[in-house]
Amino acid sequence: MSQETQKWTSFDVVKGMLANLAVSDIPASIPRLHTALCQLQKQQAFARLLADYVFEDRSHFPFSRDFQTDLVNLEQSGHLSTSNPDFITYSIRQKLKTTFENYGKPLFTAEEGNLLKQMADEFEKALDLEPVSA
Amino acid sequence: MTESAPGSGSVACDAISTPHSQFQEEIDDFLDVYLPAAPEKSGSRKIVHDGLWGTLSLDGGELAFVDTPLFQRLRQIRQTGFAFLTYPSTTHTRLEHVLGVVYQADKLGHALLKSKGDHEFAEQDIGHLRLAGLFHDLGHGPFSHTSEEIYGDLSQLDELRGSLKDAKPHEILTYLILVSQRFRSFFRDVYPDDTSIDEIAGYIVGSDLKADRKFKREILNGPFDADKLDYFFRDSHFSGLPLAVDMDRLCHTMRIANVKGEPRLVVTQSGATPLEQILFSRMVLSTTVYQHHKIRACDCMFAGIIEYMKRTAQPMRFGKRDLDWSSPVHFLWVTENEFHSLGCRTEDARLHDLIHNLFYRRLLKRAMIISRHTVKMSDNDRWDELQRLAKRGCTNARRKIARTIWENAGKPCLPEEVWLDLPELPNMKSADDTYVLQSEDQTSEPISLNEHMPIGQWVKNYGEQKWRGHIFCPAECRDRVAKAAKSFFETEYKVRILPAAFEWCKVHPPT
Repeated sequence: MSQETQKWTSFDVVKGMLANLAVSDIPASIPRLHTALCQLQKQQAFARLLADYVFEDRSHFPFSRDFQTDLVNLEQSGHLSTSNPDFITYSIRQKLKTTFENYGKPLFTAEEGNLLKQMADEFEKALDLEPVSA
Repeated sequence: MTESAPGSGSVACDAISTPHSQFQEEIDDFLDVYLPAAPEKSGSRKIVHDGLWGTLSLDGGELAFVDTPLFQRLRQIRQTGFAFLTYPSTTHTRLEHVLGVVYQADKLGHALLKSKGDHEFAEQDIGHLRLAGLFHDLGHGPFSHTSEEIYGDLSQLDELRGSLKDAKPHEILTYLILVSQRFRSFFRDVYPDDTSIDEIAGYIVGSDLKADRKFKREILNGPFDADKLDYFFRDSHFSGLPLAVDMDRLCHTMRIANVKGEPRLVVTQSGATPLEQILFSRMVLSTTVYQHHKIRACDCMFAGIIEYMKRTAQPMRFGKRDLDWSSPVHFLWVTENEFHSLGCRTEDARLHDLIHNLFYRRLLKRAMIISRHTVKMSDNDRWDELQRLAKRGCTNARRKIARTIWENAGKPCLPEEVWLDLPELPNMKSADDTYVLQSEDQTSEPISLNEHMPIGQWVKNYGEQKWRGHIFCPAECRDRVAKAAKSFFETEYKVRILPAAFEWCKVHPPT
């Protein structure tokens, strides 16, 4: 549960994590994305940030309806995009980094901001990605 | 399954906590009225005729449950809520649906019996699945998912949602009914040697049992389960939407195979087509029927009635009980007839009008349409923050916005008559959760339907294109509310609302 002084939501956390990724493309695979985030939630450092996501295990992989809704939301609002015909990759658009910088980042403390960066690194590893050099 | 079937042994469902004690007391109070102390012994089988599937046979044990007020109340709960006000034939009730689920569970179970190979699956398992089908909607309230959207937001369910792994609110209520001492006692009277009630309850909330039992659960709670197969056909038939799913092919192609080390329901490659049909049917039904704007308006009006009763401290009197809608269990007491009659009995003229407007189809109108086609976004907008409110648990935030719009429009009506409606965004995990055999001899690992063909992504994109949110209000207020809504969204979310947002709902675009 969020603390009283906390202004951010789990959606802000996801946006912050994605905005801090070193890569510009991630797999749009539901099993991989949800499994990766579920793994992060189990790490003590990130548990509070991701506490609002409930993962069910009825499927072959952990699944959070709220996380999936957040991803679809980011797609609908132009922060993530996928391309025809397979839609197998999410591209992280500049809009996500811009809006997080303007609206999301001020909601976090400096310590929480560092945690978001660490979370992004761990998320990439969990997705089994190589970072793209700048 | 006979009335005295040998016990299959109780199965511990992992991570299910003891319900809150007050919650359980309320459930017990409800069952005191709706579940007799002991079953009526019939012992004989009966044939029930269903308009969709033909004849269904129920054994004496199943009939003992059917012949209780707990089950019979489902006759007064419409399967598709207020859809009948738009699709007049959709007056089918939860009772027909649960009987249909029993039929489908039986059919899927017997198809699996022929193709199970070395996996443990027997007639007795089919009996348990039939019972799970019979019980699975006992926790529904008036107008089904309409009332579920309201009580699902109440905080009492939060503590259970985590331990029941994100089960739906009505599934949680059903689960609480089944594991109550009263129901357990009734179950023991009907099936003295069978202790499987926990297993049956587990099927309903999808709470996983032992690894070797997951494929059994999937017959009732999975990507192409008995529940979906009945309601696709039933809802599409009665709404007049011609959707097609090749059921026979699905049954013939079902197998049990190891997926990541666990036996799961899969289909052969020729079963992929009916699965694709199910995915499309579900999305078309959702966008055309369940999320039809008039039906969504009705849902808002129902919620508005509850809200008005809370605001004016007018609980609904039910015998000696005052139902103030503060608990999910309050919604179990009331069926649709009783709710309708409240409009006739109340002395509050506004409450009378709110209820009569709903039941006599004087519905709220659209003042504005919210979709990717009616909003021009920028690189610095906050549109995602509005869409975020489509998630459950955000009702208060949506109501706050609607209230602001109502105030800015000059309070032209009751606050309970202006609504920001944001239906759930499309969610397509089924295609990743359904597996296809690559070869009949099962030498290679099954692949997901999405890997077989990216059907999930296409269906999701269809849903995203068709998704619509709305601002609803009474017809006479539309122009004022439209103007207030446009100004609010453009200021708060830094977007431009296009003229189409108003033209599509026949409102003159505000200047």
